[in-house]
Amino acid sequence: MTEHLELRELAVLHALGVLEGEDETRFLAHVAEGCSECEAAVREARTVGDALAGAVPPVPPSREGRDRLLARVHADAAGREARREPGIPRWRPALGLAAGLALVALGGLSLRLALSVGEERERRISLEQTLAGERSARGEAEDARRVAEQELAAARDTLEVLTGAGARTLALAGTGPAGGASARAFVDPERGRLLLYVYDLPPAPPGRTYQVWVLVGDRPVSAGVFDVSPEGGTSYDAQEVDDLAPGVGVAVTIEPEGGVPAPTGPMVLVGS
Amino acid sequence: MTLRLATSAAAASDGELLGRIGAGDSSALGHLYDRHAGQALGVALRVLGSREDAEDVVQDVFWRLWTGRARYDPARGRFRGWFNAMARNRAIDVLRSGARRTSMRAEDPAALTIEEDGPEENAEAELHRRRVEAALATLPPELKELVELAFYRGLTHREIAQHIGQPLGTVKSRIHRSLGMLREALAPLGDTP
Repeated sequence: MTEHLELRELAVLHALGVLEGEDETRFLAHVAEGCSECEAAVREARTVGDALAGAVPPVPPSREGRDRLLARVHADAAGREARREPGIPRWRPALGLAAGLALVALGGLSLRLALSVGEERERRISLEQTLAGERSARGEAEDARRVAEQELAAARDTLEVLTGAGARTLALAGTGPAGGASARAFVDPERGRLLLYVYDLPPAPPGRTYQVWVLVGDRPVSAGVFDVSPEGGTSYDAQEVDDLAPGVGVAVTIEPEGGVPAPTGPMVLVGS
Repeated sequence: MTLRLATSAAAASDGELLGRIGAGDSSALGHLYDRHAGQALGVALRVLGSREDAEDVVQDVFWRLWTGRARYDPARGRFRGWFNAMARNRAIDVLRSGARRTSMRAEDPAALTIEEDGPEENAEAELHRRRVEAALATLPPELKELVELAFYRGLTHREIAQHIGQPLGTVKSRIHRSLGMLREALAPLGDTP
């Protein structure tokens, strides 16, 4: 059997999520080299998997389960709205102070961090101008103003994490096949927020995703999954992260789509 | 007005509902739940064999969708297929992590099929089910067993090799052959691209 035929077999097993150990590492390394044939084999096998899943008879979910989920979702939506609204009248002086502190702090940070803060500030100023213009213009569309306010609130939230007094900055270095990648994490234990700016990380192999882990001692706690752009960059905002503390480390691994409860795949970024 | 909005939401495509969920519209998640939770629960139950654990998995996948921790990419095919696959993968994660609340696991997952008066299945879904069953019926019993162990039981390829007492290489090539046969059996019927 040729090596590539065997890799095609591994592609099918990978698509079903049953590959493990050395075979999995070998297959992922092969796909990371850019084998379009194996990527196509994964896609084909996945369509069969989807067909198998779709052939299972549905089971009516319980009413209690639906109510429980939607109560949690509605509460979360209300919380998001509440976090946005009270900030609008008060944020300007607070933001000025935060931005000033940020400028002082910037000296010790990398160019990329400076760019991150700068981009957020420019975005804030731009949105502020948009908002002011829209407010003064007669007959403005209410929907546009609301969207601008929401974006402004989101930009403010981000800036608060970047410049918050309790925030910690971590530089993450690429490892293994992602040796050229880097990232910077901003950890805000008070708010349970983790912002991650990723650079030069190749897109995850088919059927895989990147998963962020907060390292509490030796125990990794999932902070969610993310994908990168074709150019290898992204910014990821994790909220309500459990066990976030000032001394935590942060790592990123390659995992099955949707994420896993504990890391299983190769580590691509790590920092502490 | 309310009635018209409700009708509009019920008729909205999955893509439209996902767009609204991304914008923080919690009611859109309710509509998506009513549309897809039954199938996702069926899949999770088939893997886990415990209704309680399967419901937890369904809750988890919808929560991930709401919080943006799971993101659907339309380039990867229809939402239904992606979502069912995610429910299956999460159920297998639970199975492998040993985090199930219930230890019960029936020997024959097919026996767990629950026939009850749930949401009416549409004709398309029923037709799809029959096509897949017909495709599975074309497999020799030993290959059908491999598909069962790999897809619905969540065993890794090494565990399967141990379970059936065959070399790892044999298991790999047989699973590959099984999926190829299923794909060929399904392709003329339009169930796979």
